[in-house]
Amino acid sequence: MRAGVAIAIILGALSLVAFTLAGIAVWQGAGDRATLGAFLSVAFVIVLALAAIAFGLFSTRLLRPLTHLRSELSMRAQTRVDRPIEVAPGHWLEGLPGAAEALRKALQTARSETEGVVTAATRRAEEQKSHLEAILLDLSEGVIVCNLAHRILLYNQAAVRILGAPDALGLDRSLFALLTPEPILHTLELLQADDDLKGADSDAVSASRGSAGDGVTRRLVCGTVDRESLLQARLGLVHESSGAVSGYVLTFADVGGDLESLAQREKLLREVTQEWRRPLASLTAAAEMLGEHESLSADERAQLETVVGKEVRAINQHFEELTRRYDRLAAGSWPLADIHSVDLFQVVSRHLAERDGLVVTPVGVPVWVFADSHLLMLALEHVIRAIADYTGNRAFDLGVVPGRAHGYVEVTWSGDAIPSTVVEAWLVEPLPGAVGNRTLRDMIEQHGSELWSQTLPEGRACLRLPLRAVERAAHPAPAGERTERVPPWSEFYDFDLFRGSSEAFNEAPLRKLTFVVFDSEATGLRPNEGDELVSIGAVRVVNGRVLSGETFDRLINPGRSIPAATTRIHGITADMVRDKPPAPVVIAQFKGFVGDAVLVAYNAAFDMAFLHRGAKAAGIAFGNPVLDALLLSVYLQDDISDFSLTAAAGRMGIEVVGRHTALGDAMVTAAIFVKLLDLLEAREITTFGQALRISKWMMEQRRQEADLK
Amino acid sequence: MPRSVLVVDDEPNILLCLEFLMKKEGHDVRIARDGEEALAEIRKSPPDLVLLDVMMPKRNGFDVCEAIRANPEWKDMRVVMLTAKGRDIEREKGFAAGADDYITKPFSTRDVVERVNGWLGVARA
Repeated sequence: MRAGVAIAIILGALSLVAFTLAGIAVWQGAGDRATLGAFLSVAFVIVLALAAIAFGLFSTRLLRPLTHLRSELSMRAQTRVDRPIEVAPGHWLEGLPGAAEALRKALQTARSETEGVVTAATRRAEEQKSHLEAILLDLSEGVIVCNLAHRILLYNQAAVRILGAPDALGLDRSLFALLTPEPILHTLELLQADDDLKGADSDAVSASRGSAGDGVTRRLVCGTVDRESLLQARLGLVHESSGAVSGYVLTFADVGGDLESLAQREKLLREVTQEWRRPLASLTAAAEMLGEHESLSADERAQLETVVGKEVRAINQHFEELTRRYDRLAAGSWPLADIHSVDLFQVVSRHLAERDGLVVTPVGVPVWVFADSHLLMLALEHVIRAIADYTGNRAFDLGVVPGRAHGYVEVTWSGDAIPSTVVEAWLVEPLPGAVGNRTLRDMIEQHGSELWSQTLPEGRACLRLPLRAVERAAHPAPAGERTERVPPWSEFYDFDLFRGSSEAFNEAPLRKLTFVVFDSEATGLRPNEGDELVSIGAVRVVNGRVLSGETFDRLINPGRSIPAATTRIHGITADMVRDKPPAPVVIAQFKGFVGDAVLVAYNAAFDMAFLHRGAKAAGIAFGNPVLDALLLSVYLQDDISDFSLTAAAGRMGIEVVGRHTALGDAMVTAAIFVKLLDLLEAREITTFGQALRISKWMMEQRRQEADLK
Repeated sequence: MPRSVLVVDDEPNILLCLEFLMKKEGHDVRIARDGEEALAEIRKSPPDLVLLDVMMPKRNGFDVCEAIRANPEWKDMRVVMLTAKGRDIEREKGFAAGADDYITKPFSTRDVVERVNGWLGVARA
């Protein structure tokens, strides 16, 4: 019964009782009917009024707040509302709204906590999933994970590649749209049986499996639905934590390449054993006839001789062709890869320094060669140790000389060449640390290479090992690149660039000086009009050798935007320099690298202008003497018009790698500069002072030419 | 004046063939069966040209070639290597050892004759 009704009834009853009692009391006391009637009416009205007031009070102070509270509470129970529960003041509910609000708050907190836990768990699951995906992506084997309904849950890039990127490979697609079902279903059955047995008797399980599986997976051969290929695969069950099977994993490898090369070899062998019978037969017959029968007529003799000649020529031709095919096959099957020469040489250098106290200096422009990295490293270390033992030398240069189709790995030292008998003896020694006790000869055969020693000019000698050079896609020339990177004469040419140095220094022979050849990339071509550096690259040249192991390579935050046009040239974006230090910091580091070496650049004025500005900001001074490789080459080859770095390198047979990266250009400039030193020497320019004078003169000439324009 | 040629090869058939060929061309021919014999013959009387096989016992062709080049008196002696390995790299190794030319086996006899005559500066008879 509703509270309001109940209260009304009670009040009504009370009123009635009160009225009746009053009436009885009055009836006992009063005799007059009229006054009694009036008195009763008044009493009735009063009691009614009291009752009405009481009801009103109950209603507003109790009933309505209760209703409000009830609807609030049920609303909070049904949905999430974060507004606090409030009841208008002046109610008789005591602490009930407060308690309800406390409960609401507790409910809200509990809900938030739950949400938080769910989010965290989801995130962890996502992370694990992306780790798994990354691993799968990296595998060279194809992987497909399916549920028990044979729907694909997961697959990796290798699977796409091996299966030939079929349309049917996608999430939630049926596996059997790709692969024939029978082998897979059969293997699943076997795996399930194994699984069931696992609990029972493990011996029986391993006996039944035999060699087809390893206890967790089974091998199978399945075919693609289009009957194009057969795959060698492995199937394994996926278990949930409860132990029940929830799906399976299929892995398959791309054995296509291996099988192909195997097939080719078979073919080669088969050809020799089958195809050569016929010509050998006719050759044998003809030769025997010529040898054993003196009664042949001149004609017959001549005929037989023709046969012999013809068959021999045919066999020879076929033999040459077989040799070529075999060479190609042999090279393809070993684990050779592209190797960056200077990376490998630095490792070799470190090992030999640590273990044998030998000094091996990587020199020359770094190139890419095709070889077995580990084996090459072992071979080089072994050979250098052997040379050290034989000649007593402790210092060597290690570099790669580029040739037509090969890069010649060269170990150079001061002294005599090694006789070929000694080198031959080294070939049969096993390389320490090589898999399967491979000898130096094995390594050389594997690479289709040779090993020999040669004398070099100026009392030096080398050991050479040719390796296949790699055509690395050069940094693509951006569309519309100006062939001449040299900016036209401009105000920022600094006449102090070639300020004189001390007399003693001027007499210093160029060959003996230490140079740091550097190049910089910037946001544009105007150092004094707001352009800033974005990178500096440099390499040290000592005694005419480019020390490819001593380099400086830093990105710089220019503190301004990098125009898209320049990014197209040097590939440096705002993202790449975002957390890099500003120019003054890097230039200070560069100063540390340079020391007091002579600075060399291609079109030095440009780079030095940036350098001086940055140095000033850093509060240091670059007092180093400077030479400009561009001006020197203009002096030496004034009949040529294209003096861009690429053209100059091409003329001198220098391979250009990493064009338009600061370090790459510095390396190329260094290689050019070393050759320039030779050319200068041929013109009897051997001291620094002479080179300086020429540079000043050339600069003056260019300025005059520019003025005339 | 007839030129002198020394043919060095451990394969008797090749030796026979080449000796015959060189005689036919009117050259003075001597033979040697291995590296040591070859150097002995050279010391006895230096020939104008040596046809030198690479794969030989005792001292191989590279070794002999180096020995020849090590002696400044023999700097005008021509060395033509004959070898069973045909790759470009082997040619370079031969040249690095000091050979003047490099012929791969199996060779055409006509080719050998032409090259030898060429190096000896003799027009084909």
